[in-house]
Amino acid sequence: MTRNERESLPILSGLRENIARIKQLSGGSSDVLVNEFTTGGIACALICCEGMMSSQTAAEMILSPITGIAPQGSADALFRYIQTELLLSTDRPEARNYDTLFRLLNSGFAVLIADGADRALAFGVQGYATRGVQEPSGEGNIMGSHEGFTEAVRTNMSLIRRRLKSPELVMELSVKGERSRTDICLCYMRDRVPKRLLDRIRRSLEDIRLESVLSTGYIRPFLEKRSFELFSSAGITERPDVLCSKLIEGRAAVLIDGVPYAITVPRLLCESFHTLDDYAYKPYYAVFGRWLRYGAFIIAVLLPAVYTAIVMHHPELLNSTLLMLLADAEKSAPLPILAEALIVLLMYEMIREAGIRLPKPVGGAVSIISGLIIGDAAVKSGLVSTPLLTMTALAVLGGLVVPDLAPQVTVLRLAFLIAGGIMGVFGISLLACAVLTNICATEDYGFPFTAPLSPFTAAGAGDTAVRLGMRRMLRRGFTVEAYHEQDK
Amino acid sequence: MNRISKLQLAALLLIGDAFAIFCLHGRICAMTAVGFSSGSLIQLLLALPLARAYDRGRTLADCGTIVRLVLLTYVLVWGGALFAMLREASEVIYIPYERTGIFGQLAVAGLVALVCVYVSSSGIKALARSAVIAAGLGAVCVGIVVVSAGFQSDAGNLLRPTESSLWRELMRGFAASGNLGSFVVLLGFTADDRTDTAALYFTCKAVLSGVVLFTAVLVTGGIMDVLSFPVISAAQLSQPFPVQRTDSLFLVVFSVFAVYTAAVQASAAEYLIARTFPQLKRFRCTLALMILAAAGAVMSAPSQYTELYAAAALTALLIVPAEGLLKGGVRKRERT
Repeated sequence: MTRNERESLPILSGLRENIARIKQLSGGSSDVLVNEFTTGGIACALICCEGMMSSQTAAEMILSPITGIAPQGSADALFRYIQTELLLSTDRPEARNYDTLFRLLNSGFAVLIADGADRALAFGVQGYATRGVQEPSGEGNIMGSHEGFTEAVRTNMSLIRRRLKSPELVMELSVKGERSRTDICLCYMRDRVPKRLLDRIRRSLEDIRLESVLSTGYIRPFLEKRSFELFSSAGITERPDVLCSKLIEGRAAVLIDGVPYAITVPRLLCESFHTLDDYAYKPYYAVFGRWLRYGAFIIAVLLPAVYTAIVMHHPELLNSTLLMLLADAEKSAPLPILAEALIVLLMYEMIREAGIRLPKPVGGAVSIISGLIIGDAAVKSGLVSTPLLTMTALAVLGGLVVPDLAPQVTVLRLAFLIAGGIMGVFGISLLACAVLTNICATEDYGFPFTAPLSPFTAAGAGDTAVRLGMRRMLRRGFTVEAYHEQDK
Repeated sequence: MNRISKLQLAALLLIGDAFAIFCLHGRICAMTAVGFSSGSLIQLLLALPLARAYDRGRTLADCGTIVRLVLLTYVLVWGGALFAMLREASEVIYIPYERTGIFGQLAVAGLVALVCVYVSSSGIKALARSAVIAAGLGAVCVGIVVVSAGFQSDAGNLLRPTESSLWRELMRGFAASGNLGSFVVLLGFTADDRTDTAALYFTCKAVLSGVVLFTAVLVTGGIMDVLSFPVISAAQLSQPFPVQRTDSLFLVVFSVFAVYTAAVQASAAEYLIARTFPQLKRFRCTLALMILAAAGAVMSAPSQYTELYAAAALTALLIVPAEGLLKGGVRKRERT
């Protein structure tokens, strides 16, 4: 039965028929528990989904008070009494059709039905097993909080609320996914977020037609433009403190139940080079750190390509000592340098992939075996030259400095390597033009991805190339709206 | 409508002007720098009526088909000339496979055209944004080359006797200003005051021409007779380190500027094709680039037809306000 069909089915008033319908719709699923009892002189049933609710809370907060109700004339009178006289839980929605009933049931609510009532009362007693708040696996920092998002959307909402106790913080819950019925939460600061941005994000979310929402990757494409973009214009964070800083700057965020990451919109290129620690240290050190990351990104993408281009096509650019050194190292290598570089890079990607996918204890061993044994053997046997391996290692290291851009770095590094190997610096320049244009064409909701660099926005420059002191930054009263191109 | 800022317009066009100066063929002297710089300021004066016409709300869409056709022809011819310049400059700049025969040349031209198609099809906003970054990087690289040139320069080169005259160099300056066609088209896209935009662009152009050409004369003045491309040779001779060559910096700037210059011409041509031949709107980008590349294959660099190119540049700059004046006069006569 489809969702629309369930939506059009009103709840039956007879208890027996109602229970039979619920069992029929759930397909007799073993985890749907029906507890029949009589209270207030009316035959009732408390339905719940095993493992989704806290038995202790249900017993203390619902079963104990509800079973001792004095006789009531009808099911409606009983429900009215429960709603007005008893505060069984803080979250008490009502279901009038089977779609809502099942959504509540599967979200950990205890649902009460009564003989003669054409509606159901639900009580929020969720208590499913979930991972606790832990340190984020990525986005590490030294001086900031060590709390990361978890899989439960309501826990994540509380992590944000704890940091932003302002009534301006709004969290709008909705449900997406025809089958998964996943809770999605749109968060924003009412006084900071540009109204147009919010309207357009709402429209984008409304347009989502998915069967299930199992990760951020299901929602992100709907928040981005359809054209081919190398870089994603919707950001991802697993840190509540980072998300709060973005909300204060006027961005909007989307939390997804079951996913310990939040999507932020709009995202700018420069954000990938910012860390929370930038604001914990003195500005001069923060500026140093930022430029180190910018440099690392360039090295990660271009170093193997430039090395290959110079050695293959422009050896005159090397001074004589370096030239001799490289010539000496390369003369024993049996493969052309482009093939050599491609093999080394692809080998690294394979090792990385193996390290991620395998169980952690084995993953570590894979890294050691491949790094030490294969790497060492390759150099000693003369298959790969030492300078090339050094360049590749440096490039890989550079990529690890900006983990946010890892997919782009990986692909661009290979593309630039091929361009540099075939056409030298000229090829690298041509590809750079195409990539630069693609980055500059990335724009969603009127916010250019390359802002505040191009188009240049003075208001944003104080926290991009440099990092101003905290007092001066606060005096700017900056919000992301300053980047909106149509406003200029 | 896609709007660009005055800084973006200036960046877009200055890249093309820099590329034309890099590819300048034949002897240059101090008078060349004076001629190019003062020519830019004259162009500013001539561009003021156009800027004021745009500020008053006139657009290229209001102009007659003939005006748009003239501009389209000029933009396409100059685009072809740019491809020809790229081909000829590869004599002194090493581009892999360029010297391996006709197929190598075709491959290189095809590759440049392919990148241009992508760059120009991304839209004027993306092109303008990326042009600012490219121009910024180019300015840094040119700055390094200019500073390096300081070590190789000889002030005596400025005073070497030449047969050149200010008039001739002014003509050369106008002839190398093929971007004026794109200027006429793209000025309509700017969101800022058009007079300010024109002032910014032509002033920057005057400074750029002066600095680059003076530097080139200072470095290569003594060996000018044996050089085909004095500005490129000056960059190659200007090495900041005694044991390390930095030609790659110039090669990067040269390639990037070549792509953007052609892409700007293609974008201007696209706009004019879409306005003049609406039935070709769907293929305007590819069509523009194909014509440019084909023109580049059969044309030679504009250095041999200085007067012709100078007259064309002048026409492009004046045709829109002239048509406006003519139409205004006719309307006035009809009313009386």
